[in-house]
Amino acid sequence: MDDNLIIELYNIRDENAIVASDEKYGKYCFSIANNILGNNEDSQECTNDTWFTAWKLIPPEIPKVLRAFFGKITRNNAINMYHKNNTKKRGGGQFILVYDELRECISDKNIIDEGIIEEELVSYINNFLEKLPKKERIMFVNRYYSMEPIKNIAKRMNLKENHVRSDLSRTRVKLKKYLTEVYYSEWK
Amino acid sequence: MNGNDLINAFGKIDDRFIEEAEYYNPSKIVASRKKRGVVLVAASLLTVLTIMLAVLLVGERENDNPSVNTDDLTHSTENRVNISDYQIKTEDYKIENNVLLSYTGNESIVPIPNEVKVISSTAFGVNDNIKTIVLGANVEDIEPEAFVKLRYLKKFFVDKNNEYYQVVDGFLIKNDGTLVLADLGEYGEDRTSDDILYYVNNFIEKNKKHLDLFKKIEIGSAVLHICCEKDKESDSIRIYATALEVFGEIVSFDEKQYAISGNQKFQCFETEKYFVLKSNKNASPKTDVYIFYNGGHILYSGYDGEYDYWGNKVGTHTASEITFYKEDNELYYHRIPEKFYKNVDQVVGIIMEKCVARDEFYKEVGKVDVIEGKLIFTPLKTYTIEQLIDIEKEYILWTETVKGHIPDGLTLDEYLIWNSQRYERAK
Repeated sequence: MDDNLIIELYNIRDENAIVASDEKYGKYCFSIANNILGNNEDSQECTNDTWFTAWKLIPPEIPKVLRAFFGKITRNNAINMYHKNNTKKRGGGQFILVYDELRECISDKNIIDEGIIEEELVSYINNFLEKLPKKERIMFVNRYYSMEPIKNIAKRMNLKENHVRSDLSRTRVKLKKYLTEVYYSEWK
Repeated sequence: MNGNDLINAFGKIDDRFIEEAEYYNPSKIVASRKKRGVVLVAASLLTVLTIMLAVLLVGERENDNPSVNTDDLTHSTENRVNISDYQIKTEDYKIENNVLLSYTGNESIVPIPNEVKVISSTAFGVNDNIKTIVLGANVEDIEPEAFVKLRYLKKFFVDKNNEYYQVVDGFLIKNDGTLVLADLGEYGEDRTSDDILYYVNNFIEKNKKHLDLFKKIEIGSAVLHICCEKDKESDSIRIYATALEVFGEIVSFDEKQYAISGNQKFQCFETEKYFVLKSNKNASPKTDVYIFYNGGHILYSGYDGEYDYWGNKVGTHTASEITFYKEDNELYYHRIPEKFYKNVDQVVGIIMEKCVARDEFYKEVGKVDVIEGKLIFTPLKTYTIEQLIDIEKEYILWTETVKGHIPDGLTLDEYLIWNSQRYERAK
C-alpha cells in the first residue's frame, strides 16, 4: 500500500492503518528493535507499540518519510524497553556495545559536559553526517541509528568485519574532534 | 553530555540519512563499476573479441531462459544449455570409470564432458580462474567439497538432457532437494558454513519462496537437513536444521534449537578430524555442542545444571564456559570461569563484579581430541585476567554501573582486596 494512503488511513482514524503499517513496515521495525534488544518477544512488542504511538501522533503530525518515522518510534520504544529490562539481563542486543562505542566520542573537557541541548546536538550530528563520505556515513548510520551488528554491516556492504570496525573507529574519532570543536567555539 | 545523549540524538537524525542507509546496495555499485571497467577494456580490440566470445557463450544462454516455475523442480529450465556447444580440451581432464578425478586447465568456463557421471571431491584444487561450470548430460553425483576450493565460482549451467541437477534462481540443486552450491554473489569469497547458511536464509526470507525446495544443504563434508516453515501470524519464515549427515552417520535434532533464521542461530565448523555443531538456545546460557568424528559423535554440554528461562542457575554446574574453535585445522577450546563470563555482553564492566586479584585465573586454552569415544581436553596455556583484560578501564566502567553499591573512592587494588573478602578466586 502506498505510504500516502497509509497516512490517510491514520488521518481518518481507520484501524486498517495499523494492519497496513505492520504489513509494510513490520519486519523493518522488528529488525531495528531486535538489533537493540536481541530478544524476539520484546522486539515484537516494541513493533506493535510503534503502530499505537503512530496512532496517537497522526494526526496532527504528517510524516515526510513514513519508514523513517516508524523506525524512529521503534528505536525509541526499544531503548526504553532496554532500560526497563536491563536489571533482568535478558537478550543479547547491540545496545550496550553501541553505547560503549559512542562514549568514546565524548570529550573529557568539562565545557561540553553540561548545558547540552538535544536539538543542538542533533543538528551538529546532522552536519557531521552531511560532511562524511557516503560509505562512511552509511556505515555510521547503520551502526548508531539502526544499531546493526558489525557482522551484518560488513555483509551488507560487502566488506570484511575488521574493515568496518576500523572505519567506524576512525569516524568516531572524527566525531569526537568535531563535537569538541563546535562546543568549544560555542562556549567561547 | 553522556552516551545516552548521543544515542538519543542519533535517533533524531535527518530522515534522508536513514533512507540512504536503508536502500544502499553495494552489489549495484560493484556491477556499475564492472560495466565501466568493461568499457575501458573494450578500447583494446583483442580484449573486445575475448569478451564477446565469453558473452556469446554465457550471456545469450541467460537471455534465452524462459520464466521459471520455481515451485516445481521438474519444470526448471533456468541455465539449461547444450554441452556440445562448448569446446572441451580433453587433455585438461583426468577421467576414470566415468569419475572426474582432476581438472588441470585454466579456463574460466569449464564444461564437464558427457562421459562424466561423478565429480569426485578431489576434482578441483585451488583454481582462481574458474568462474562458471557447465554440467554435462550424465553428471549424476557431485561429491561433497568438490567445488569448495573454487573461490571465484559463481555460476552453473546444466546440459538440457541432465536429469539429476537443476539451477533455480542461481542455486545448483540436486533433484532430491540437496543444495550443492549457490551463486553466492557478494557473500561468496570465503564460502564458510556461515556464509552459505546466511545466504540461503537471506534468499528465502527475502523472496518468501522455495520453502519446499531446499531439503538439504551441503556444508563442507557434511549435509544439513533443513526445514522451512512460514509463521502464519507474523508472515515470517523460520528455517531450522532437522538433522546432520556426516562421516556416514545421521543425527536428528528433536528440538528446533538449530535455527538458521532469526536472531539466535547455530554455528558449525569443520576441522581436519571433526565436524562441530553448536546450538544456540534462546534466553538460556546452556549450549549443546555436537562433536562428530569418524566413527561417532559426542554431545557436549557446557553446563551440567538446569537453567530457568532467565538464565538463572537451578542445579549444579561446572562453573566454567567452554568454547570450541578451529585453529590450523585443529580443534581447540578455551575455558572461562562463569563469574567472568556471565552477562559480560549485557552489563558494562561486570567482569569486575567478582574479580578478586590482578593475577586471578581468567582463561585456559588447549586442544581437544576424541580418544576411544571420550572427549579429552589438553590444556596448553592459562592466562591471568590482567594479561587479557584492561582491568583498570573495566573497573572505571564498573564503578559507574554500580555507583552507590560499592564503597566510594576505592582504588582498583583496594577494591580487589574488598572483593576478596566476599568472593572466591576463580578455579
